[in-house]
Amino acid sequence: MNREKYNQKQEGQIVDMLTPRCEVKPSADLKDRILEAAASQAQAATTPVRKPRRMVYFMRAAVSMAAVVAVAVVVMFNTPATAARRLLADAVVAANNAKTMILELNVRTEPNETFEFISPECHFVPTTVKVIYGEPSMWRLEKQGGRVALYDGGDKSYQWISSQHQGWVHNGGMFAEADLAAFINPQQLLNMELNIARERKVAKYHKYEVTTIGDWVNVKISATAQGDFADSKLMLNTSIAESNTIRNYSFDRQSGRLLNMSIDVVMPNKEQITIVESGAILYDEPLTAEDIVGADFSTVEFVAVDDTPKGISALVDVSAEKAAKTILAAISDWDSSILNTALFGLTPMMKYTVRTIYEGMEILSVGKSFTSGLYPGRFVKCKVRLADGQNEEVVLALRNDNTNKVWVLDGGL
Amino acid sequence: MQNQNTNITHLGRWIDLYQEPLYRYAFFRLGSRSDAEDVLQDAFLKVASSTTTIRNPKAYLFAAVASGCIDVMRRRTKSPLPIDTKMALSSPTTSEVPLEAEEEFCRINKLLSQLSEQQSEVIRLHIHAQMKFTEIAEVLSVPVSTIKSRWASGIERLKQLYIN
Repeated sequence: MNREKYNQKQEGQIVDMLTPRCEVKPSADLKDRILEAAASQAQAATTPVRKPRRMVYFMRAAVSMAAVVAVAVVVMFNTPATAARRLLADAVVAANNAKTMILELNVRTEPNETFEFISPECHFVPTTVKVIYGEPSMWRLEKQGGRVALYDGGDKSYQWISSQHQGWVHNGGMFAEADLAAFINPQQLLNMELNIARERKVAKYHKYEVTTIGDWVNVKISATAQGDFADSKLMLNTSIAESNTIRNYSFDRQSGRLLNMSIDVVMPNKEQITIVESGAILYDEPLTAEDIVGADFSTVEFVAVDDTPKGISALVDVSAEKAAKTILAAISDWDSSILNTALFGLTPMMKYTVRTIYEGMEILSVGKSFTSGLYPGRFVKCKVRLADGQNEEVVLALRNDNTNKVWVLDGGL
Repeated sequence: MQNQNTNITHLGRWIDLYQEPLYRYAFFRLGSRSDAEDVLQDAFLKVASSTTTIRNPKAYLFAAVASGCIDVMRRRTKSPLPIDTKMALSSPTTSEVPLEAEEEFCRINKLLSQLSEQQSEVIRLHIHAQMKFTEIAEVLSVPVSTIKSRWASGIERLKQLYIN
């Protein structure tokens, strides 16, 4: 073999090594998505089409509201920070002085989903916050026709879905506060903002503007999405923390009270979609304990969410993919020995719904698990064939951040 | 505005023609399917919204995707790549079995990490995006002779490391 042929052969070997050994193709719907986005871009002024979203029940806090607060706050503290800190401090004092508050919000969400869940594709759901300030405070947060959260000042807090009359009870008053603080209690939001302001935790990529118009002081905060989306953008724009947002607060210049707030999500095409907007914010309206608890409370069947799921071997020390396969197989056979753990936290109504749809299914494929955003567990994309022959793709949300490190289904069905 | 409308009219055809090589290039640059698709979407939207007539859409799109990939990598500088930690390949030449795309990303990037970025970029565009040297020269705005030189030196370096 002459030298030239020898070199060519070696070059061919190197090219072979550098050539992918598998096909890599974009998603089948990429073209449609691009064309849709291009059309949307061309008609930037038109209202976005909002499609109903598949329900994804995340039973417990997937994202800490502390992160939401951090989104709002880190910004405040570039110069000129003094004005913003003073405004926040005034607002905190005003909120401390209030005896009650009723806050009416419009939130783009699904009525039954968790309170942290938002989606630019959803319609507005009227959401009401009622608070009686005291030691301890009592509050009720309610999506019209959907999820309710309640703390009645006792040693338990509650969440339920009003149409199902079933929900969850948690020992202590913090059940909802971790992920609902911003909506339940502007005071807490502002307090946390103020604390972070004092700590001077500044992210340079956050910005804020303070303007005054008459008796109103407006604070506009631009904040980038929190969480890791390197694996997947599944959770992008599903909560305030996991969205690029522009948050607007308006305060009364004299009293420092919050008068108005809105949160816009900034979409990848730069379009801004309002996902939270306040209506009336009423202070010191007459509110009683009965107004907070409500007549419907006594009709709800609760399951406790404080118990740790039992550490069965099939779901401990295994990969998320293996756990997904085990759980789907158990649902297909309705194997209670596994499902009592795997479906830990689902209400009887939810279990019934899952069983009705998925019992007898065939597992076609289980994908590689991935993370997204701030969700503490892992997602697994699976394809199943239902008993009626219909194929369905599901993205299971699984987590094992409990004491027994056992995988449980957190959402996706 | 007329030029913009023209670009939008051509968009579907350009997606059909170029999305696969663009995606392959972006994926093997980023190792993330979703990031690669995002970069592609941004590039196509950029071409659609351009107010000038695009004479060479292929070169324009590859330049936009290359730039988008760099932006993504810049944003990642504070966190590791999503999947490279999974990989501990003993030898880049041993496996004959088709691997998952993500594993392939790691395997190929391990090879390319032995080269300069300029050499790697030419190799990616030639092998993954299946572009001719003349096309690569246009995307990277350098003479064809420079492209050929980068290719040859990159291949030679890998030969020394893995064959000789």
